[in-house]
Amino acid sequence: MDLFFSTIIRSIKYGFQNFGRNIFLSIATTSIMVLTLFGLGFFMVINQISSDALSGIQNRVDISVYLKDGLEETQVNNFIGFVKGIKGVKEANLITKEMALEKFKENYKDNPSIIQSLQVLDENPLPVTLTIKAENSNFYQSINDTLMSSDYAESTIQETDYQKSTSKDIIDRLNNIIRVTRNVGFSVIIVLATIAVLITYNTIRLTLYSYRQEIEIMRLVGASDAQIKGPFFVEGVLFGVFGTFISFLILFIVVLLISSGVKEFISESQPLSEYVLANAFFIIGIQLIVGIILGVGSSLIAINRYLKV
Amino acid sequence: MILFKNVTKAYGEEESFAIENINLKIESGEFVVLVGQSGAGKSTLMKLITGEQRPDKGEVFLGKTRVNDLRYGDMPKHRKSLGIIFQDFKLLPSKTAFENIAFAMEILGKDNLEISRKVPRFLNIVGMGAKANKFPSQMSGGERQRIAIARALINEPKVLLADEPTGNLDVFNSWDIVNLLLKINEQLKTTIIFATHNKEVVNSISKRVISLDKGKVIRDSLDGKYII
Repeated sequence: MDLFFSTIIRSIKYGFQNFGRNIFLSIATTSIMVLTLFGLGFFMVINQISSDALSGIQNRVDISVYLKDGLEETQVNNFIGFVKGIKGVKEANLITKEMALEKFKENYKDNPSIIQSLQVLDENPLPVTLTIKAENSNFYQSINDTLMSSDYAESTIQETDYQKSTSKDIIDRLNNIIRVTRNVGFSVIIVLATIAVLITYNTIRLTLYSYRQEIEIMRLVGASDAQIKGPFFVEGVLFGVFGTFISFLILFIVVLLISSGVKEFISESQPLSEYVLANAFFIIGIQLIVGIILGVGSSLIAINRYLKV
Repeated sequence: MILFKNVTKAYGEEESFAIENINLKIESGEFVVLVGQSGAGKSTLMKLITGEQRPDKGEVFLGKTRVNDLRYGDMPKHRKSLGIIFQDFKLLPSKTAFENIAFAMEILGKDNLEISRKVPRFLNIVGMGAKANKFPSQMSGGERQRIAIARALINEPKVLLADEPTGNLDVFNSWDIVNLLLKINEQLKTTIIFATHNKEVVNSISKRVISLDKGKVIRDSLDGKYII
């Protein structure tokens, strides 16, 4: 047991010593690890921004179904019942002709000529409207299809604004942007991670080379596999740990700098600095896991390749 | 006791035998000199004892341990029972004499108290008590080899393998080291296998001499004569 603990303590001590012995190489390796983990953290933040933006726009989107004039109340109620039963419908709200007129007047209160032109007409030209909100934007197409293929398309519906809606285009475009951003972000992280592995691998290889005499002597006097490999394993862990904390610090500073700008651009977005602080443990945890996997993985490859104990 | 039973070891092609059908028995506490020209098989014989090389045929025993059977994980324990010194000393230049010896204890998990108690004793055994804080670059070849011997002995191995330890030393220092090895063999009862080219030394110490040539034992005699 003593040997077990002394091996751990010794591995940690010499792991730090290895790190310091080739300090410039260690700084270079930690830097690429920082870049990779910063990319990962930033990707998580971007993901949050885009999710906020998407859900904000989704909340504003609906389908307006304009009903034909002269429908009986029971016909309208039947139609509302039908709509509420369609899969993916979150809510359906009826806007009567009077409510529509009030809203119209409210919207155009600063434009008296439009209001006056309405008053010229004998009757309220605005149709009864049913606004439908879906559980998420993916349902709008199927809701619209169900409406237009039902019997109500002929008897009750005058038209829907779904095909004309700019919201649909915005959602499609936003979804595309998010998909492309995720793909690009993921690819960049993979490339950075590969570079980090290669650089860490080479650093450990050079450390192994500079310690070749010690390793030979350790082997001669009967040091175990764990005693010989331990310090290099710890060195790999250190690259991951230092990389995590430095990259989180940089991430937080960057987020502080861009937070207000993002808030102006995407009003639905929670302030980024708040998001990062609230999720600090989660972000650091993910970065730490990835950093240690990259550091230790690279070390193990180098150790197994160049350290035949 | 070290036992070689019909041991053969070849490198590369089958025809180039480093060791060919060797049978040897070395008793505990013995001082044995291995002689032979370069490539005769002296180093291979030692590597077969350390387990660094495995025989192609035959069996090698160290005490009751059949070295052939040792698995990768058994090697550290096996190597703890051996001390090894080389022609090129293999000291760490960044460590003092004391630290070089302590290093061998430290990596085996010995505590500082035991290290500080034992290292000076072994420094005194090899006559280097006054140079504990000197670095290898501040010592002569003979002194460096004394430190290497102290390091090899610090974990109290049963067997000391000395692979041409006087090869880099002048006559005076060579004698010094040989006398030290004789003293260790006599006082600590450590089995010593001493590979050398030095005919004068071999002829003077009157110990068992095993002569190797092209991987074969051509002579095994207690008359203490260097004959190849």
